[in-house]
Amino acid sequence: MKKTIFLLTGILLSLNTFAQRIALNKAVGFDVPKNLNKITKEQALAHAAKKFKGDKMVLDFYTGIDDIIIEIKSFDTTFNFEPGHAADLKKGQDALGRKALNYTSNLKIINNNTVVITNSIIKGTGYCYFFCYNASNTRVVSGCLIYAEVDKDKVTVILDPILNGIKFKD
Amino acid sequence: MPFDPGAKLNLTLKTNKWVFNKAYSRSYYLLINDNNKYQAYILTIIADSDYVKNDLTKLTHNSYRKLDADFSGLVLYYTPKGDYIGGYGYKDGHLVQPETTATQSGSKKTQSVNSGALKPNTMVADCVDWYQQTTVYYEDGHSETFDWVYLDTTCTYRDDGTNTGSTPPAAPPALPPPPPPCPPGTGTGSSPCSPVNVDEVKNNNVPLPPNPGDGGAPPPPAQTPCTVNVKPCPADDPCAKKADVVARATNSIIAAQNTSILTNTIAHGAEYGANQNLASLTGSTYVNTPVTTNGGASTWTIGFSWDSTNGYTVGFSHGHPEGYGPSPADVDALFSPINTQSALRNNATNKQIYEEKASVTTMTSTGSYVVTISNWAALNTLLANSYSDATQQFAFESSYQTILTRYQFDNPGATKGDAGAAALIQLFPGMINVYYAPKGTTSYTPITIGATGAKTITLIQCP
Repeated sequence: MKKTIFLLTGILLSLNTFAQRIALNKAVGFDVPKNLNKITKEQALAHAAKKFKGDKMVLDFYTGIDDIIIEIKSFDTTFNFEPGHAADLKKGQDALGRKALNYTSNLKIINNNTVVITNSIIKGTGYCYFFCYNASNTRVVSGCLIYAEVDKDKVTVILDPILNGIKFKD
Repeated sequence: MPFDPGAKLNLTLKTNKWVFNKAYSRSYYLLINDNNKYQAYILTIIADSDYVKNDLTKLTHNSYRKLDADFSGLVLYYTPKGDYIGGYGYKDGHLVQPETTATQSGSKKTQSVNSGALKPNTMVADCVDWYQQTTVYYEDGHSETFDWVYLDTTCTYRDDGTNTGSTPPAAPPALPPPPPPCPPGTGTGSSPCSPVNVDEVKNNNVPLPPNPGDGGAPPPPAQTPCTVNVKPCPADDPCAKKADVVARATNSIIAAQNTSILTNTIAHGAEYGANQNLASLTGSTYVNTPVTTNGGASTWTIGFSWDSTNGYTVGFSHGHPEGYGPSPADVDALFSPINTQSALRNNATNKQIYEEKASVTTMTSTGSYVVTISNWAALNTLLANSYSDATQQFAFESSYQTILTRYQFDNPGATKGDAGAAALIQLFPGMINVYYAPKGTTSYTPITIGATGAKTITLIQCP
């Protein structure tokens, strides 16, 4: 079973103020920074429909005016990712990114977790994905941040506390 | 296939499990008067090795008029044009009861009685793929052997004896192979659609004739059109072209190219590829075009020809070293010739032939994908509006990457090949058909994606 939560954040964010901890499942949770409000899927859809009328891809992915919507997905099941899976994922994304506009990527080790972050901006909308693997390559938490291009400098500010707050129990 | 009265004909069969010896085959041209009119047939008798026992003279003992009392093998009937009509199997002089069914699906469940309680048995399927090859021997001494042509797959079902609570039944005795089934698209029973026109559907339920009292071969099966409702598949139905996709992939030249493409792509981390050129517009022989590379990890230089010397380009095959499935650029490259090549743009017949046969194959380390175009008009509009210049192409490729990444986000264990294929299906809805075969196989099956949620790829079961 997978669990998805939606969070809504304002552009101005106070750093390092953690208001609550959310358990994604029995094996992983993360500390939610202050000013991140949990919303329902219906609220996320309604928010997404406001600004990008008629853009099917955006509506599929959710976005918001003056706000950034974050979708975080976890899975109860374990996986058997190869040791170099994260690097291979980034390598493949980079190969595709050569044909794409405004693409960047990053691979980091955060709290012993391996994290791949990709970023693309298409028609004024930014799509930031992260894939966070535990040290034993058996679990993954994925995130998707959708934002207006004008807010692109805020993405790192919002993303870093989330990535720092992901903790796997195994 | 034209028939030359001066030529000798040899038809032989193979399956995915065994090959019939071509030397044990004899063919005859028959004219049979049924008291109304004369009907022409090609009769092919293929003996098995248990009967021949290395004595080829025994083959002359068998004809339409007379079969040896201990004959084992197949008796097959074709039209003079080479279309398969039907056939019979013999073992030690006796007709073999056919036991095939039309379906190729997995296990069936049946109930068996055991001490008053019903318990499920499990039936397992043994499936056989049938292929046919024709060799023509001309009077001047030369011969011509045509490519293997895939006919169909037949399955028999046997009880594996589990869960009965009693002694499992003995394994069925080894029987000679059943008579080959009707060609693809033929059969009885209702079906969602058939890849051939309804008028061409034939009755697969050929009842065994009474044992000919004169010791000759049984008469040709009646060519009775099927009376059940079998609709022709619409042109955009993914199952309509599955047989063509498999036939091309199993062609010896194409198969060798694909093997070379995959091996070199993985070894060198660059795209290798080859054009797929038919030698003639009416045949199924391919020109042995070279496998090439320009050294790029994400590009391969496509060629095009439309003449009898270099062949007629009806597609191309290439490798993706990063493992992703077919890309928007591949679809555009497949589509473009009808606009950019004068042989197609200025000739409606050529254009139609290209549209019917065009496909692109993508080889990856986790499997291979074939894309065909099902709606040329809609694709023309989409590409003209969204893929016509560098700026649009960059944006389109960005969308492809984003949707592909979304697939990986929703399906963490998915292969990159599937992620790319899923993204392509979403970007070209209703305009393309995509087929997938596991690595090392040519067992192509059309695929689709879920309508909502994770949109996970699933296989489409064809009738």
